[in-house]
Amino acid sequence: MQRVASGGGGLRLWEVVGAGNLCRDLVEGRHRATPQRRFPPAVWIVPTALVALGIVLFLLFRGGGGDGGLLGGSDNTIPAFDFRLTRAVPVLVTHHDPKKFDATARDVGTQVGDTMTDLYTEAFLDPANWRDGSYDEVWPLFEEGSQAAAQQDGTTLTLGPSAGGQFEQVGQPVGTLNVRVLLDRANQPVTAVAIVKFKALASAKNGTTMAVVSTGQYFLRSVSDGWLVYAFSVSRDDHEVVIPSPGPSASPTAAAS
Amino acid sequence: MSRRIAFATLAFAAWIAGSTIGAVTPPGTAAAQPLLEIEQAHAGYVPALDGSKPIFILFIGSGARPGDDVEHSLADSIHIVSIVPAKHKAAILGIPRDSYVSIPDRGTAKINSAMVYGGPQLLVETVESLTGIKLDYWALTTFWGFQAMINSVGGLTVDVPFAMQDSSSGSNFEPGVQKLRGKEALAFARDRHSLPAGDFGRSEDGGRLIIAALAQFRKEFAKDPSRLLTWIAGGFRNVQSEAPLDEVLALAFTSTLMNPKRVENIVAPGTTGMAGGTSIVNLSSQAQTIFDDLKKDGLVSKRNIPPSPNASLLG
Repeated sequence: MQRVASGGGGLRLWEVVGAGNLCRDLVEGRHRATPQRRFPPAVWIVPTALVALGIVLFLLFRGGGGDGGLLGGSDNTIPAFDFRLTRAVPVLVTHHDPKKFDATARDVGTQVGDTMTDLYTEAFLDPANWRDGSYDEVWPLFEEGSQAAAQQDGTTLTLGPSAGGQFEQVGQPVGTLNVRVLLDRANQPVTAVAIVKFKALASAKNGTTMAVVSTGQYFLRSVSDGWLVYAFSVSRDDHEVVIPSPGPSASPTAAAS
Repeated sequence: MSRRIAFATLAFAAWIAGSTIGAVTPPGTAAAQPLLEIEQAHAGYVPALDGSKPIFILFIGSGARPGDDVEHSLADSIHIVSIVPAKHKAAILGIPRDSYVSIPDRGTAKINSAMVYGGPQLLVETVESLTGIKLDYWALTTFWGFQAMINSVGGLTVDVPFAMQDSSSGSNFEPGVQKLRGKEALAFARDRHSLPAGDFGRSEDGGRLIIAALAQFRKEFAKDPSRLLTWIAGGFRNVQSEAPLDEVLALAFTSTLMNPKRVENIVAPGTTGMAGGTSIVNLSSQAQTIFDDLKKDGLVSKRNIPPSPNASLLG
């Protein structure tokens, strides 16, 4: 279809060629009593499409430079994180020398560390979870009996259901882990307590930076393919932090510690 | 040319409009979600038992001396502890060690001799026969095990209710809250000469120590849950029991929910007498009423709770 200009009298209308001919209509008596000004569809389609395009572009690149945008590239990556095992202590119900079971406790500490790293990564660091406020990967790390309680305490045990509306980005996680391992009469590990300290920095949408702080203890039991949480006592103490202005000595890590 | 300008103007306007529209947050959402939430919260869960059926445990203090057969010595203290998980309540019933009772296949004798005849298992059967209560577990400790257990948790804070001085047990306490090491706690538990009701009063003091232990355990658990392992390990190292570790863990978690102030501490009432030249205790009919009451739901109704044997000292 080709578009041409027609009409006059200072009014320019857009008409599609072949769509009609005023002279022919008059001759054939098919003219309208009151001639109607016809706006070509392009007049509405183009602005509407542009407005829609503007909305889409704004949503994609809001915040400037792609930071925090949906297409933020690196923003969707999960920050690297591992709990640092600071101590693993065997607790014996027998009169054996506990030092003989230090290696057992360390092994358990490493396995428990894997579970806790998974838990905190899914609960606080994976943008795919916190942006949606959906933490389905977290709950299977709790034993069935404690899953309902964990979900009820979800706002404390995770970044929270509304984290996606609050934060642009979460990063710079640090965490330490102290594990106590209860051995049974046969000196086999039966339960472990993970004492955790976790901190990450979250840049909020209002421009402030929050320290996300989680400390607590998790009781874990061994299952076929790892250790699962069956009891917990965990506190959150998030607070605003001031990040030093950019400069040679500015270190985000320092702010996190 | 003017058409191009119109297009450009329109596009720019569209960009502005789109950005503005895109930036507007729906009013409902804005009202429901503050821009920034400061989180200060606590989450907690313990896998406590929640059944309404009471759990009965027989705590036995063996009177064995070092070198004796611990399981076949006279029982020095006997307490039934009932736990009602659903109500987060418990009761302690002391049975005077000189209670003159029927021992299965052994005739009538002091209850403490049941262990000499048949170890903890026969004492369990004797208590079950006496009270009609089916015991779920038994736990046996010694004088030295008891001391070690107390020391393993760093001592026990006890509110000593009255002055106690007794050279036999080694007790020497002024009334008031104090931290007792293992040796002192044992003296507190064994002293009967300072008490007007003798062994009855002593049995109540044994229950008082159990309640003090519960109070301290709860306090420590609240501050540092990993202390639960210390308590369990300290108990297991110094107590003989057939209770599986995972069930003890479950009981320990359950006890974190119990208010020590709501634990009943009762001693089966009776009168002292003689049998064959030996001092004995004849349990009264009220004792049977208490047994029946306890068996029913693991607790003793107020109307069936006898006065404290140490009432005259408590004022």
